[in-house]
Amino acid sequence: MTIKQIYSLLMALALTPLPVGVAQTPAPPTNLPVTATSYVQYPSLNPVTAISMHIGTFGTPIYDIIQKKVDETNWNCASPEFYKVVVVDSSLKVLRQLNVTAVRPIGNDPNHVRYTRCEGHGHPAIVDLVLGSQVNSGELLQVFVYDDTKQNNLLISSDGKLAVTTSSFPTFTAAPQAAPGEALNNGTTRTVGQLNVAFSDTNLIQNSPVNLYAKSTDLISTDGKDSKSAVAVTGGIQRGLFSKWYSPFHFEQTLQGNQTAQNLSTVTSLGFASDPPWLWTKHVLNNGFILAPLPPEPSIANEYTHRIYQLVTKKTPMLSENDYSLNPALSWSTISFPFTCRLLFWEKVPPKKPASADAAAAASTQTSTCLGAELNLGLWYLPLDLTKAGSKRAEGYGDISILIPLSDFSVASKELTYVTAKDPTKFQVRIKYADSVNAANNYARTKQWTFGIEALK
Amino acid sequence: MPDISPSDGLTLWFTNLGQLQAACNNTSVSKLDKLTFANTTIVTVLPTTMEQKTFLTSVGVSTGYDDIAIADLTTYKTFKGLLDNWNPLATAIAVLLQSLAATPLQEMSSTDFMNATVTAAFPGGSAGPAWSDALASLKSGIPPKCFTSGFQTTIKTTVDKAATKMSDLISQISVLG
Repeated sequence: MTIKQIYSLLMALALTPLPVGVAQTPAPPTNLPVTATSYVQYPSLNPVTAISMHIGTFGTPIYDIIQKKVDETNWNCASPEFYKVVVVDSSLKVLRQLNVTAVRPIGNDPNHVRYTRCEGHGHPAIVDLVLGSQVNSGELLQVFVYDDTKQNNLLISSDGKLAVTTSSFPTFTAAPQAAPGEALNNGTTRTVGQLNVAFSDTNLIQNSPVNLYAKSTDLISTDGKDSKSAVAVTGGIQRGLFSKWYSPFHFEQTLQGNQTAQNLSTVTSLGFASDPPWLWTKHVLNNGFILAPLPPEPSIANEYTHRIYQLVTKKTPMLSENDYSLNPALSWSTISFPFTCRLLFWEKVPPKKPASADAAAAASTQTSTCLGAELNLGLWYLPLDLTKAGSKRAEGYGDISILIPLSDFSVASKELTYVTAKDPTKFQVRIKYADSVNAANNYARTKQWTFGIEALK
Repeated sequence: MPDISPSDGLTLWFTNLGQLQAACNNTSVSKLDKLTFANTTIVTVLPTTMEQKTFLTSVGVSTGYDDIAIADLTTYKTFKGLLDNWNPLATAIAVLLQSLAATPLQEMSSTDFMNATVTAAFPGGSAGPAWSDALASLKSGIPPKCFTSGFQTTIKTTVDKAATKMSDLISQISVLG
């Protein structure tokens, strides 16, 4: 056979079309980028465990596949029927299928309207598959995206290596242990067996407008007189008060005592916290005299305790049947006074053009200036606890700190350059006066000055 | 056809960036220019958990990115890094450039377009009419502080390099400057 004949034969083979029956279609890509996520919806405060599919990266086969599908009327990226999520082993053998309760295209379009489908051109870049089935830590998940609702034609899949580390699903643990020489309520000791039990369900009712939760932390002993025996069962409800501003409140009821209920009480708590909108202060509290870029953080807590039974021993005295406390508090940690840089001997003035974004951000916050302050204020109002004069008890408390960057001191800035040179706010002097009360020790009051040098993270 | 035009897609990214800036509820951050803000480390200006949760709630309301977790604020480090995960700037730029590229490249898949040369996409280099249109669209969609004349000169040099791929050009523009 001549070279020309061999060439002709090869050309003929190359140009001969394959029979239809053996036509090769490329296998669907198995590199769908997915991440596990756990977040809290607002204002319901219901926790969500989801798989985020990242489909908006231009230049990837996944993007091109989605781009082709967005115009098809019989395909909708927001419909759960086109997805399957399974638990697999390391060889991708399917162990069980998970329930996808919702598909959420994430984001708003340019008209501020939430996406209800994939628009194309990378919008949305993330689609969340909300999981409705229990997933255990360490289990591997694989996601399949189909061309049809019958799930016959696979479009894309993930690689099956996704693991969920945190989730919103109920947890239960029980850990037995032996406790030699455990103290009993009658003053004696003996070796007992103990079982630590913990239960938590952070979302009792799915898709509820409020978050209902329950938890329990117990220690059950083989001896009912075990002083460590404890049962605490809590149920609660929480939600954001304002729908467009983070403002959570909670109402919680706890039943606590020991396992024989000789010691039994209920604790009812109600709390609220929120940062106030602050941008309106940008001229009043962000100038050459005072710089307070972030708002103070107010909170308010109520706690009512009703003691049903009390086990009185030598170590545990009789307490009042009912206790109530109202505790409003305020914390403000980012206050500074830029004028002090010029007023005092300090010459440090932020550069006109900061070297980096973080330097620019720091230059306009407390940490870059010469004198800073922190403030904490609060009040314990105890209407069921009367003073010697017969009035209802109220205990105010608070502390104030003056903060001076170590680099402000000429000795430090010259002799201790290793702690002041690269980041002048890395170390600071704190002078603090505190007038505090200890709620755990019958609101005992202490007043003290402290002085220290602290390193900042 | 997609409902969001290529130019709207680019504008949306910077609208989102402004929404993130407003959501910080921090008067110092509100005074930063867009480029500085984009490259600021999130937790330095939102140090407490309450400030971070307030930020996430406001971002969810204004942008619709309501599945951001507190851990993401550390994972993605800067505001640009965070936003790029939910709305990649590189995609917005690439979509815009493809819509303005030479006609045969407009119908390409995104993977092929990224592998195409800048010369093929914009014949005539930086002096050609196609790139002039593209540059005008970029300037129209990107705030001046994020697309300075110096940065444009750097981009122009890249456009004039014959072997440059579109992926390289898009990566360079996405950095902003």
